[in-house]
Amino acid sequence: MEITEKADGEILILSVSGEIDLNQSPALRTALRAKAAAKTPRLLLDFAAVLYIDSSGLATLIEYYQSARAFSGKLALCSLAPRVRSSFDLVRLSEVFSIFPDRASACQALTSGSS
Amino acid sequence: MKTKTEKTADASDVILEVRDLVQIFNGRAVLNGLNFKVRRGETFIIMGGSGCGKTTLLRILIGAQKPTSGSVHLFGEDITGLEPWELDRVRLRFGMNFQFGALFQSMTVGENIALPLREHSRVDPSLIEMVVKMKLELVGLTGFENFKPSEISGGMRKRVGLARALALDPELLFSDEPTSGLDPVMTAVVDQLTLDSTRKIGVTAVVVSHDMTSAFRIATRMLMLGSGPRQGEIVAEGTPEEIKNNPDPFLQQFIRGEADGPIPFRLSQDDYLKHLLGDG
Repeated sequence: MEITEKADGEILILSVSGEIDLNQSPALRTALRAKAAAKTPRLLLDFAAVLYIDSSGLATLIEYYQSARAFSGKLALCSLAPRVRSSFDLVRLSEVFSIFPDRASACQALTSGSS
Repeated sequence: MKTKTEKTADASDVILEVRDLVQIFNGRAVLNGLNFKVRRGETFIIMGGSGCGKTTLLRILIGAQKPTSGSVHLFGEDITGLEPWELDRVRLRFGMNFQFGALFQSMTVGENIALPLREHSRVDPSLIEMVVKMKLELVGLTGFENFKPSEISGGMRKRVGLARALALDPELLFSDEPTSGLDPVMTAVVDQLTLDSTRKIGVTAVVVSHDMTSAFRIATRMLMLGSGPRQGEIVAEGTPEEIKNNPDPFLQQFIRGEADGPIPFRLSQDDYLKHLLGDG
């Protein structure tokens, strides 16, 4: 798994690639905890290159979601492959996270504050 | 080693292969030279009457019992000759859903589900707690994490067992009679979970079942083990459609649930008398 970071105006974009499984989710957790500690106001996770996510990866995202709520941080996810999206759907996390089909719509929602 | 994605990318990939498998108990061949393959992403049903050796076969498939002869290849590796510590490495890649849940009575539901994660991963306890909640949601038991197994029904215990089997997000899930004793709604829920896991996430399922409604609902392929005069052999193997259309009277009696037919309910009169009078 690899994570690259890029700022787009007020939005911080983390592009994640590879598999988020038991072995890799700790690295994602480290990255997200740093963003929570910095109280990142608008964070977009671009999952276009994520091939697989397991329960530990989902739990890592929930943990950030909870942290971000405490400082009113916005979080959105975008560009999930169908199989990755299914992992969210199965445990009804699609109802929890703001998930967008592409980066442009996610950025628009984050900027307008609707995510 | 392939990555998880590569493992699910090739549908023709064989994830489980059984070769010339024989199991003899007290001189009787319970399994007699079985050969079959299960491919990645399939829901493979193993069915057969009581005493046909389904559970024995399942125990051999998961490495809990060594066969008399033959081999089982899981993820391309012959597990029949593996040492226990080597088998543990393979076991991390599959989940086992036991017929009656096989839960630790002294632990809560949540602790039971968390156990594989605590034992086999370095996931933080706070994240494990979330995984437990998600697995309980999967099996329709949200909010039951603090109950003891003795405080919930048998059907609920079965679902907790399924949640525990899924705790490590296995590539391959073995289930022993996952719907027996469940009401029709919960049977449908468990069937749907199996379908979602295989079709949407790419999990492979090997399910031992004699619940024909459930089996035909979820199967991509089915195998029937014989009993009585056909003990130990594979009566039929194929897609649900092929199984339905297979004219074998033994198979048809089983899937229609008929009392009369070639599947013996009792010994023949001669055999019974021999047994009763002790001259067999």
